[in-house]
Amino acid sequence: MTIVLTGVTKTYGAQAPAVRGVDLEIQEGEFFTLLGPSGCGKTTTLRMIAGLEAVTSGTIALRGRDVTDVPARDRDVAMVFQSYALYPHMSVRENLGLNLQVRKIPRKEIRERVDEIARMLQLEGLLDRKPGQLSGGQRQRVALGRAVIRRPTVFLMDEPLSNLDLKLREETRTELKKLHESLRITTVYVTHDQSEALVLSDRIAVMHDGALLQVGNPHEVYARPADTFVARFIGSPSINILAGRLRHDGAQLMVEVPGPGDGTGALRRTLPSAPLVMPPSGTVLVGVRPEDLVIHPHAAPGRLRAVVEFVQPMGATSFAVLRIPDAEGLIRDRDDLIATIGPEETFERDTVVWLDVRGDRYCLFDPESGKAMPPG
Amino acid sequence: MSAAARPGENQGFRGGIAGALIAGFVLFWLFPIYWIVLTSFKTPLIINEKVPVFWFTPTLENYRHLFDEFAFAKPLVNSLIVTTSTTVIVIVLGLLASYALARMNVPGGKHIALWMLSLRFMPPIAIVLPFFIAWQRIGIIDTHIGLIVVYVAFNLPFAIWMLRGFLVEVPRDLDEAAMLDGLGHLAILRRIILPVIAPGVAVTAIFTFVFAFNEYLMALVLTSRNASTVPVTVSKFIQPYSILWGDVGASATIQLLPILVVVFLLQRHIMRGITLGAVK
Amino acid sequence: MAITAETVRLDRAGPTLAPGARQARSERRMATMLLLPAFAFLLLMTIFPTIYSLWMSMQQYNLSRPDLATFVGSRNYWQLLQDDIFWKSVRVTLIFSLAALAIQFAIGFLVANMFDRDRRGMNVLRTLFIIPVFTSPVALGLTWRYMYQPNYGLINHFLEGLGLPRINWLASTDWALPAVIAVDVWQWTPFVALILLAGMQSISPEITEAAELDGLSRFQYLWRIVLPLLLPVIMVVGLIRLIDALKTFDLIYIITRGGPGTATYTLPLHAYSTGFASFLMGQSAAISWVLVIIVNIFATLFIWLLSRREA
Repeated sequence: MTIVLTGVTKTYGAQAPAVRGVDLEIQEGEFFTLLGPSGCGKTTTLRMIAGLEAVTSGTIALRGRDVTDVPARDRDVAMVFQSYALYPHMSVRENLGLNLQVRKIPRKEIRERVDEIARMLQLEGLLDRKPGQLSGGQRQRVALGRAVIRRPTVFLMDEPLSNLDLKLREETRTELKKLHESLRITTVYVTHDQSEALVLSDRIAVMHDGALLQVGNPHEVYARPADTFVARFIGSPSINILAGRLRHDGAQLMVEVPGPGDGTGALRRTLPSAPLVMPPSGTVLVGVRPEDLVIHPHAAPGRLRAVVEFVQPMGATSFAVLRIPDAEGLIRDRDDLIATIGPEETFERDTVVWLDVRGDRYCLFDPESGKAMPPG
Repeated sequence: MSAAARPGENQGFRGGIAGALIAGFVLFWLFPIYWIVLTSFKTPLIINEKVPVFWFTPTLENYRHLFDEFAFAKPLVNSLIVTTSTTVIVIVLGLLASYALARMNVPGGKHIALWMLSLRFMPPIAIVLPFFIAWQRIGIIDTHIGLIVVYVAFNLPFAIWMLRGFLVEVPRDLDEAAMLDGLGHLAILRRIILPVIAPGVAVTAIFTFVFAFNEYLMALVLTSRNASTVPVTVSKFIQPYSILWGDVGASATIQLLPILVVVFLLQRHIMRGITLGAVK
Repeated sequence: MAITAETVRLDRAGPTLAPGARQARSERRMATMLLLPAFAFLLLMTIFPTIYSLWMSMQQYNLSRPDLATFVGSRNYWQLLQDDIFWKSVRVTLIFSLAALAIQFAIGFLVANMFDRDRRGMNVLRTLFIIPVFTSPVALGLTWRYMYQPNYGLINHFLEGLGLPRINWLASTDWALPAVIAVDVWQWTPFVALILLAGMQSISPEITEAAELDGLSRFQYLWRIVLPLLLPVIMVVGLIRLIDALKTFDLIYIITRGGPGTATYTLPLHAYSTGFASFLMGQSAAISWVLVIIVNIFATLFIWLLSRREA
């Protein structure tokens, strides 16, 4: 285990804790992402691992050594800052070599390692330039190189791509992934961009209000979110959430999303087994990803009647934006539903369609706590 | 720095006239400086001419007189010793203190910073008397040390305030990156912060230097023969029945020259220094 | 007191440190080390003279006979309140400071507005314009004294050229104070102007463009947009200048020595003459303290403004 956080809490003055009781175990060589909206405590957590921020309570261990009280400079961690934090008065070569120089590594070796890193990150022609003379992408690579050259126990990255424009960000994302595949250095990565997290990570920890909501691999957090917050935060466009209820159907339990008052159409699914805790009210929230919402032209039992508002072409796919007439409170968060459709499909405005859910690709949440209700 | 076109601002020909007007205004404003420099090259006869003379054969007579009769070299050296020492001490103490105030968690740091700034407003006349008596008692009246100590006290608060202003503009990430690279606080200050805020340090040093170099009241009270500075010596050109205008001109020119050079070398940063604290 | 097993155990455990506290503590020790030299020095250098001069202001202390010093309590202050010259110098100090301030802002605002355009050469002109701020008050005072000279001074020469009468500037009780104010205005208007200019240039171009689209004239733009936005800057600079003007000694001392009569006799000059010409150190200290109190009112206001903005 490379990094172990035990009950880590951070409080600033009298404010509510920025990070509360985080327990984490990050494996050797893992690419681990802390994901969440701004202010969720992910950066604070990262900075506590770095030693830039003292923990209020709890412990942090790196490779089995308790570093809670060890100053940042003795922790053997390297960090890529959001702003890159390159030393403006030093050349790229000096920026890359500073840590090695501080650690009294022979000059010849420093030179070799800087050259090697420069080759790896395509910085060869730039070694004598100052950061001010580099483009955004080049600066980003220098920042990366400054971390890589140290071969540290841990890489920490604080939104390293957020200052790049969209195209460069996607390219660099791929580069970063390749780099990690080849070096396999344990990496803790902070981002608020869920797609970045899904693409890069071995595992993702979703944070909100200073607490860990879920830790899992990208597929798990996407397909089986721990609560409605995670469900909404991950995926774009975000998940559709509908109000439903649980009903006994003979021996079996069934979830039903009722249609409008006139009783035309309702979504129905038989649950494989009863949820662990049956909510007293019998109501549940049903989450369905846009790609799992299927549009049919004709009515059939178990299909929900909807009206097409418009279609948003996205290139490879399109999104149909749908409304359910006369169904107040049926749809949560928004007042429409989004379904992924093929790029060649088109619908006239106000076309009446019938919605169904693909197989068992839905999740249930407790309407009170928002927690997922896993099937028994 | 460039200003956008403001409403009603004229372009082209009339704009050119406006530019010429501004240039004319600035030159008019600086006329007294031109006049005193000019005077320094005049003979006493021309100086006392009833009608001001603009064209004449320049002479270095006044400068010779200044150094020969008034032994101007001694106060000049005194001024340079006192001012340079003051500046060095102020910058060193100021850098350490402002780094602690800007970058580290000092309990009550904000109040300390404001308290220090408030010292800038202390009227010199109110504290020169205690120093006069105390310096006499401990025997450092009319010495370089005596003046340096007081000058450091008078310039340090503002220097800390200015340096702190330059420091808080350096992104904190830079310190943290250096920390992770294995540098301690003093190394960060020396190897990272200092090079980055070097222009700000230079400006602070110049402000300190200039104000110490020009200071009159404390030098007047705390020095007499040995440690007398340039302003004190120059004020002695006022004699009961006449003023030695030629020497005034020559000494003023000598005082002005280094300042002019420095102001031009660091013009952009000096603007920053002047506006620091007032505009944010 | 009996030492119980309980106390012993507590002692051995020592103060319980929260995790990370050791790091925070060494950080604080470092900060103290860096700050302490400046802090301790300044504390010493302000506390000592403050207490000393306060104590002295309650003494009858003649510099030529220190052995005769006696404690007189608040008598020096009561005497001041009944002293005509003291009140005159308070008046002169206020007139000097407020008039200089007002004129510096009036001219400064116009000049800043003049400089506030995008034109080549503006930087050089700005740099030239700042020079007076850095000139030595002694050299400067003498330069102006030369120009005010009644017989061969430049100013009278120009007045005459314009068909106006010559004025004996520094010997006239009417003209001496305006003449001294003019020199202060000359030296410090550039400071005020350039800070106002920096304030103007920090107004975003979009606001300017919006004002233009709203059809504001240059005057309306200045009055309705620039002035309100600059108000905080004006307050800060105004207070700095006001305080510095209240303390002014060198310039006035060099140009007029406070004369003629009490025409330019400000509080700092009064304190200086009382102490170092008449050797009445007690009274001098009392006068200084009145000045300190006046300055402190404005300094407190200044610090309050600044701390509010920093928060």
